[in-house]
Amino acid sequence: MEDELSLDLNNEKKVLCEKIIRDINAVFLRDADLASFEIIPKETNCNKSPVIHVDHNLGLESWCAQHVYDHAHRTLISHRRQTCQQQLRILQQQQQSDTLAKYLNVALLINPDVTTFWHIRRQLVQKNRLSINKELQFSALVLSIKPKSNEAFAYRRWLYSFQSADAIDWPHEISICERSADRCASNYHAWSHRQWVLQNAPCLLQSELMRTEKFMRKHISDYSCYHYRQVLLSRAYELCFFMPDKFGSLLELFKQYDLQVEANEKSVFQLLLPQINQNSISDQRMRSFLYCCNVAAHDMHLCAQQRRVYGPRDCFDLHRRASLKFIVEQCVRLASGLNLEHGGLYLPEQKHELRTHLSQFNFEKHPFLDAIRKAESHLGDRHQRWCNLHLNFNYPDAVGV
Amino acid sequence: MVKLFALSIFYKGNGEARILKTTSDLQSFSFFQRGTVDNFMTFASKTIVERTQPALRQSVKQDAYMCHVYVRSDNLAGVLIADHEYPNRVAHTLITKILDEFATKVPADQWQNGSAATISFDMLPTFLAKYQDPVEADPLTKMQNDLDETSIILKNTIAAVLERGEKLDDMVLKSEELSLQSKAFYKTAKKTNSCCSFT
Repeated sequence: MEDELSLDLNNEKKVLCEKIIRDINAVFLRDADLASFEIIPKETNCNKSPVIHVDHNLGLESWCAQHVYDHAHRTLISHRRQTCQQQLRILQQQQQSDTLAKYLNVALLINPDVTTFWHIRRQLVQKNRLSINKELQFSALVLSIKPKSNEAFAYRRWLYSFQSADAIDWPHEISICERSADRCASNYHAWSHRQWVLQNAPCLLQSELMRTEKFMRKHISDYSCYHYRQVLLSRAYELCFFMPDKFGSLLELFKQYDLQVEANEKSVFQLLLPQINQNSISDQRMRSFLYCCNVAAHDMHLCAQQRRVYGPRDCFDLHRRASLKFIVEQCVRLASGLNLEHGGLYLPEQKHELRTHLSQFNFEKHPFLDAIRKAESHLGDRHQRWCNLHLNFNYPDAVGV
Repeated sequence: MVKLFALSIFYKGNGEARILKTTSDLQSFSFFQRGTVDNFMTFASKTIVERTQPALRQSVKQDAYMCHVYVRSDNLAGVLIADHEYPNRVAHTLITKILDEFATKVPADQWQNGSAATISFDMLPTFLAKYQDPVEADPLTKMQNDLDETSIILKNTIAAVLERGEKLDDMVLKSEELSLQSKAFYKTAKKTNSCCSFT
């Protein structure tokens, strides 16, 4: 008797879950522009449909989320338990793969962390059962509820591998990264994805430099965006990116150090690298050098300014150091005749070579670097130790600590 | 994050604070949360105004939020809910300015019995948008003399502002301003330790 009752209850629950999953699917079919999904806290069943759809936003009431997920999960796992042939047969039939997709949608929206489910989706895409555009939209929907979902980002990269780079809407991809990073602090998954976008679409460099500064000004203690900006700057330098006549922040830096210079590219370059034969490096390399150092100088200035407004923060100090390191390293690199012909700035050989040159570098012969060295020595013992370690500034007091 | 969420003006009568105007920017919250969050922000603002003496400035921290309040000696009060990283001094400068503006535009005899519908004053959204970036809105140099930062009383939780014997949970339960949905939200959020309520 009791068994029968629990069987009945179980059945009833199953029917209810099926209905909810059907409702969610209906929303998917009806609304091609769904923008967000979320679970709405509500503890009791009020005898109304728990699926709420307003202005392209989809909500599911929390009381049923667990049951619905259980049901979808069980169905999908029993699909995976079948033999390979059986699974293949299902994937080949439109109707049955549609049913499968229905459960996948619900399961992944409630719990985006199950790699197996993402994998089934990949199989469906490969069998042409799901369209790539719809899938991009679905993964964006998952990111609206879980901005840190690495699975979703990885899935997007996988989907894009089927499209040609010219056909991809890169700015849209950037805006998805930005939204995810905005919703969730320290979202390194989003920034890594953005690095991948940058790798594929270098034309975004300039707009990225502007966007990241804006983001940094708003998320003052989220180091993930500062880090991305550092990557961005070295990428710009590697690709010889520049905009003409941008050296205002460098001039400001010179003024702080009491160095006199005329405001034109040639003299600024002359001051940064006095011993160098200007014909030995290409015009583009020189201008990119000036432009990138100027961005770094601008960031040092920005960090100091932010510190005055918001008080001390680790992020400001760390990013200032990173910018300082960029300027010193690039000056030393060019002055020692190291070139970048063999790829990235941060390849191990490149780094090793630079270290050797840094350790032999004579800062005193170099008015600009010497001025930096003097100015940085006023920033305390810890900073001196850092400079000794990373820039070989050889401050005597801090040696051996 | 440096962000402003809500700005409201109250009149602090005997015992009860009366809301005169309010505006909010809740784009950073997910769609279905916005109503509840708005509800709670108004509730928290009102609660804090009622427990702040005239001619007093307070900044009350609750989770990631900071609730800045200033009640003038003529009982006009302003509340700004911001992220905790927003500089306190700029927040209070904003409140002072908006209250001055309000006092010149709206005659004092309307304060006591006015409401959002009867009072015409539409500068709150402009101020809220302009001050989203504290550096742009108020250059550091000219502001420093404006406001003495030591006059702001800092509190670590809303509970620290409440009077003896008062409990936030009871107040939420009894409140007439909060909708049933918001109360349910408060309970679940407390359980799951979610980020978007003033618990």
